[in-house]
Amino acid sequence: MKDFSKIGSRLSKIKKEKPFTTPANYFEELPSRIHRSISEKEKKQAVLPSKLEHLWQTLKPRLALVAIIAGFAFFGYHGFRFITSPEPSEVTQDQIAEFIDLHYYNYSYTLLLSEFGEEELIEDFYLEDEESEAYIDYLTAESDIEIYYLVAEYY
Amino acid sequence: MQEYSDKELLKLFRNESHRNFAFDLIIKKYQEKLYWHIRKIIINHDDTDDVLQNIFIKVWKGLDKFREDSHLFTWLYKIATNEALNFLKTKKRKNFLPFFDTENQLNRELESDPYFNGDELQLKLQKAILSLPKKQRMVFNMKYFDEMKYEDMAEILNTSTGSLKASYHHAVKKIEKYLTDN
Repeated sequence: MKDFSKIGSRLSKIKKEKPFTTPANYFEELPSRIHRSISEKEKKQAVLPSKLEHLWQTLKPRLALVAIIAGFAFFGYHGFRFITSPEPSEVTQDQIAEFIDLHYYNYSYTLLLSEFGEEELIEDFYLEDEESEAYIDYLTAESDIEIYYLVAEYY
Repeated sequence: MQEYSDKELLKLFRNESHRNFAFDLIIKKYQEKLYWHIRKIIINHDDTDDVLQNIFIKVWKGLDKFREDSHLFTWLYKIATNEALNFLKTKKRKNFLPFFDTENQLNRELESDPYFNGDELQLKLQKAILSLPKKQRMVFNMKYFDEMKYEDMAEILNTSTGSLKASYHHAVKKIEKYLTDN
């Protein structure tokens, strides 16, 4: 390591004392100013919770009123919708059979759904129809008879 | 006036009935040391005064939780260093200053400081110190002016004594160069 006395030769020519000063009596007055700041801060902190409490007491009845109105509006709206919405009309077996008859060449379950909308309305028919599907599968597998021929013959 | 040790001051502070008295003694014992430590970082007296008051307010609130793992003196210096650096950071952000402008700003404040009473060489030295990187500047001030032990500095700045010695060495070299060139 280099010799510090040589490195710091220019530094050593400069007076080492602080070149700064403070306003008169600064350090004599500082402790009392700090105590004052602390007590002011503590007062402010003590006032803040009571202000918040006052604000809460003022807002509480108004918030309760707003909550009641919002509750009435919510249940009123949904109640009204429940009462006034029409009962879902049932799709009859005949309607579905007629639809399949009309579209037998390109019939699919998706097409049936797109015609009658909700799945639960046609669910029963579809379940019942599974048995028929099994027959058709059996006949298709056992002979060369085209399914379209069978439908044309018996419907 | 009786000089209390840090341990005695802390013991007094923890006693509710002597708390204000003990805190007053702590302020009186450390106000000058902390003031000059901050002033050398911030330069401006009014800013130093604000930061110092905030530090003592924080100390008042936090002294209860001080566990004496370190000395009171290093704990206070640590808080003062952090607060002073944070102040500079906030000031830089508020004024949208890049690093070199912070240095220029501090230089301008130094030149216009009504509480600077040094001669021309001392002004040059202060400018040389302001040209140093932040860490070297603090290390130089703490070692050269405050003659602080490396061990204490290591605790305050959270670093090793080896790194502090190297920083001081670099700082002295740069200051010498600055003084020669200017």
